[in-house]
Amino acid sequence: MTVALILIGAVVLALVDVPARSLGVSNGVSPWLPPDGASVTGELDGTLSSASAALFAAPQATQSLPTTTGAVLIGTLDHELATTVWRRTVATADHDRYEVYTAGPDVRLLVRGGASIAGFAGGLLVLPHDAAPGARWQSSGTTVQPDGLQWQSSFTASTAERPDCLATAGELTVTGSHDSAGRYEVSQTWCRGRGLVRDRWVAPDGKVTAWAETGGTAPDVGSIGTGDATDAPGDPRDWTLTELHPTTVLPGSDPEPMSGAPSGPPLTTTSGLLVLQSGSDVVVLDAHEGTGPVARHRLHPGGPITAVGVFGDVVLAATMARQVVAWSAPTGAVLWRTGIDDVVHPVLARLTDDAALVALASGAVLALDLRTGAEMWRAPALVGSDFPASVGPTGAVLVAGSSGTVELREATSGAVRWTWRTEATIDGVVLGSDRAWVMTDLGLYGIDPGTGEDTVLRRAGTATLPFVAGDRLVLVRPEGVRGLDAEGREVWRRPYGCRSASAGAGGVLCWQADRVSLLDPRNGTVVVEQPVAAHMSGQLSASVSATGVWWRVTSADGSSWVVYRWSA
Amino acid sequence: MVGLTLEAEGPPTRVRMTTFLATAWRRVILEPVRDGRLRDIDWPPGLRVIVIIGYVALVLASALALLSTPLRLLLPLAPVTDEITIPRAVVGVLLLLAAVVLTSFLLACCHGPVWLLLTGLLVGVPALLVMTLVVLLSSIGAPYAAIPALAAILTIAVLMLVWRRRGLGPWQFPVLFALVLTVAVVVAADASIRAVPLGYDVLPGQVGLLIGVLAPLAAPLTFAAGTAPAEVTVTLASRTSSLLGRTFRRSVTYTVMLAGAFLVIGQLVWQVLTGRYDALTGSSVITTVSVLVGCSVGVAAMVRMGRGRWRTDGVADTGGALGWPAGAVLLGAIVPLLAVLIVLMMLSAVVPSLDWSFTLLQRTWPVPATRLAASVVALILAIWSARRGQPVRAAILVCATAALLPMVLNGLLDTDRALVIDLDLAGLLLTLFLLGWMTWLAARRQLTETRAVGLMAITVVLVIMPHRQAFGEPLEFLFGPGVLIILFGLWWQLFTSSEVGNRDSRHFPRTSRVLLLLTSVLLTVLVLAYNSLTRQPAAGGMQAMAELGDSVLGFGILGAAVAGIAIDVLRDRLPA
Repeated sequence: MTVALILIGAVVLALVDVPARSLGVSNGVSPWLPPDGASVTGELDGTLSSASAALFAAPQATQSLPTTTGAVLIGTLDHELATTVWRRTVATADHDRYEVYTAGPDVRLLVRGGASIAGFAGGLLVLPHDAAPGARWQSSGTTVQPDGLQWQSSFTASTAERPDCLATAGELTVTGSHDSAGRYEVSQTWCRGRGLVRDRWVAPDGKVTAWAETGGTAPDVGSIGTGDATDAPGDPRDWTLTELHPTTVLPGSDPEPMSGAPSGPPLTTTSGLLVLQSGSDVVVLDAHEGTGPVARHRLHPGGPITAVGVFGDVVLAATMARQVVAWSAPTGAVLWRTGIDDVVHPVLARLTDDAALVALASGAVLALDLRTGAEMWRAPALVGSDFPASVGPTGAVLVAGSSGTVELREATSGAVRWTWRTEATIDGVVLGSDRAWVMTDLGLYGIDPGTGEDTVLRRAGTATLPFVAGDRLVLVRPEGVRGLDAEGREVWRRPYGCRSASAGAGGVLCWQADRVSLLDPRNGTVVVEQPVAAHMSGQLSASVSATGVWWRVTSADGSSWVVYRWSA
Repeated sequence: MVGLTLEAEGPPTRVRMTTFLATAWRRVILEPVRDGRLRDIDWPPGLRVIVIIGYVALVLASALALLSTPLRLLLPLAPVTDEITIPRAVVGVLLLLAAVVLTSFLLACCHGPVWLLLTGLLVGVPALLVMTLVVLLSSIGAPYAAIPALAAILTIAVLMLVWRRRGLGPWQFPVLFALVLTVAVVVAADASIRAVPLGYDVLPGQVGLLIGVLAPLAAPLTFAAGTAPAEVTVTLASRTSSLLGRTFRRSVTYTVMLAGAFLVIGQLVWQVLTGRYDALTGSSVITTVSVLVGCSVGVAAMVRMGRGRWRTDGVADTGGALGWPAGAVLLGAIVPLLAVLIVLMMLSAVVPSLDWSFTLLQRTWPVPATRLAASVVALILAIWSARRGQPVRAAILVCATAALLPMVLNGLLDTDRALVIDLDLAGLLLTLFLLGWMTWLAARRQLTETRAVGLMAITVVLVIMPHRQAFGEPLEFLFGPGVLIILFGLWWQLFTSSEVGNRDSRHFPRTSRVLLLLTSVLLTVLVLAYNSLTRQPAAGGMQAMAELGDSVLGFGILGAAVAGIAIDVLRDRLPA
């Protein structure tokens, strides 16, 4: 009886879990639609642009659209959100244009962006599940935006020039007293597994909106900058704190606060764009002075995001679907997409001007070419909560291996310069100009980067965060902060109880209970402090660059989108 | 006084090597299993099938832990948290295994002593509530699903109190399992009905939360699992050496002893040539010598206090039995301090001058300080045990405390150099001592065959000691760091240190003991499987926990065994 009960329990558990296990498998999604995260290059009204696809449950989609567009979507679905939708994003020069469709089995247009938003209650049927050459279909309903207009549509399908594609043509008639009323001509080409490859709308006033896939690669693969900014750090004592409120601006609409829940720290590109993760999207914002940052592109890699990084003007995102995707931040175009073995560590590190280093959960580090996504080299690495490698200033990278080894490798080729072994348990590695530092349970080892011989062994204690700043190794513990020289001698000690710390901007940033302090690594003195008591109520995410500090606080009061910049 | 000598066994007999190997296998592996496994001694109806289910679940959980790498590569991953992922297809299996663990645990608590019943009500029931809370706190729609789940949890609590008056019945496990499963199914169904349409897959997170709540209970056994290599080393050394002495001619015994000595010397030379001693620091030398002296003197004192009841053969078994309680005390020592600090933190809302309690938790000294207190308790227990005629337990505790003290001092003192026991150096010192002693005995014509067996046993320990953890390392790339060695330790613990589950008393009946043992092993393997499948660093800290067990209690077992064998050599008797 007991065994039978367990077997029955197993079957019941498996059955009730079926819907959840099917999430992301795209059950019921039309075979004409592209996969989640797919992106193609095309021309919008004669201008190069890219179109990307996202498959969402409707509630998630409402959080992944500007607030007004999300509200229209809810209206078109009559608040019945238990459906999967296809968000098609066409990137224009300064903002994205959104279209939202039901994902299947029939494909219905729910929301169409553009000069103004149009919402079709129940959805304008653009591709029925049994569409084939010669088929005809009709649909009708009312509009949600503007409200209350009547619409009816009639489409026919014919054979397209391309194989495995279907051409559709039809008309949409909107009646009522509004500027948008009238007869629209619509012609589209759908390709199996690729979605819309051609989309042409002629408005009642004769204005044509046309998008057509051109294929090929994004226009700026070769020209986009991948190196860091070379701005001078300036004097931190001149830094001021700026509070920024990101907004979305769509043509014909007033600016509106950003919707959705951001996560991770604010990142900046060399061309001054601000990058934030929001749910399964990466949002690129113009860091406008005065009006606050304005959203330009919403990038979707496909599946939940595990890591986001910015390298020059390239935005990198790693996903739970074991892919790494790179976009051009200014245009929103996908530069490349590559598959990897496992989920990556949340830190994406810069390796060289045109290469990034990622760590896999399976225990390896990969060097990826930022221009092509090609794997340059890989090495076995420690699986830990900290990033298992440290990139130094001399074209080398220090990698903590899985079995008590530490290797200094050439950043460009991955060739091993030397290998150092220990019986101790390795906790982390830091590479400076004069020393390679290895944190272990036996203590802190200082290794000559030229020879690979350890010359220093020093106590570090548990719960120690090590940073290289200037020519000092800075050890941060709950009890205080210490600065060591290359020989491991303690040069200074300060009783700062840092909650967290990071290096950059020419010093070490120590986040305390009510303020953030920039410490001079040479002597441990406080260069400049900024009170942040009001920001410490939630989870604080910060990024440090050569020119200043950006942070954001995840809080429950809806202010998560507020970004703080502390710089010159 | 127990004393075995070769003379007492009669002259050695010429036998074939296969017989020796078969006997060695029996004495080193089969006998510890025979003596230490769970046995069906008047088990009530229904217990046998629970144990079989437990073993099947153990095999399944072990397979999940071992196959985590290919499972992650082949199956789609789902998020547990923002940073942790798990192969989605195994989430249901983990939930089912967790249901078996919880059922077994609650039933053990139900039929155990009062403190165990309270533990069940304070840990097991809240663990179920944690999952249900997610259903309750969901902001989407009315949480009707929580009603059957809460009803099931309430029924479980009531049944535990009612059944306590009766013995284990054959229907108790199925009923309890059905109730626990009801909670699991309701949670999974609620996730499917309410979260999936919104695009969220919350079940992996809920299973992660449940296992996370139970995971601290797995820590003591993980600590104990770390001692398995030391136990096997000691058993292998003492029993095979004694067996060899009894089985073969005198010349064979001396030849093997000399071969062992040469092997140890060879290992020493290799260590010197490969620079293992190059990085030796003064603090390591002082620490290692101090710990060795402390352990030796301590064992001698405990043997003296134990009035001659020393049995080297019992070191591995006694050490294995100490694993779980030692782990519980060492790792749980911080809990009372945490409780005091939490109370102080709550009081600080009324008494602002107590707000220092907030910052205290961020400091690093509370853990070593509480472990120092645990060391003092261990020493008191050692003296008490020795006086009650249990010098083996006392000796292990003394050596384990000697190994723990440098770690404690490292946490408390801000010295420039860490106080570290260098096992290579310890091996070197012991080797030099052994060779000197061997020579001295031979020169004085006191190197009897019995003594040669004892010295041979020490050489075996010295040869194996540096490599006792190494067998899992070549396969780490396949199974993940520490997984193989922890699994081996857990299965070894279950098979050789479960004698406590065969005992019976009015306050702590056998049924409860068996279920508790099974639960603790299954829970620990389940947590290991979860940590491996989610690729948490160092198996979610379990590798460090097992290494702590090896460094402290494993060292205690090895130290007590070597010192004990040395005493046997002094007394001219066999170690086993």
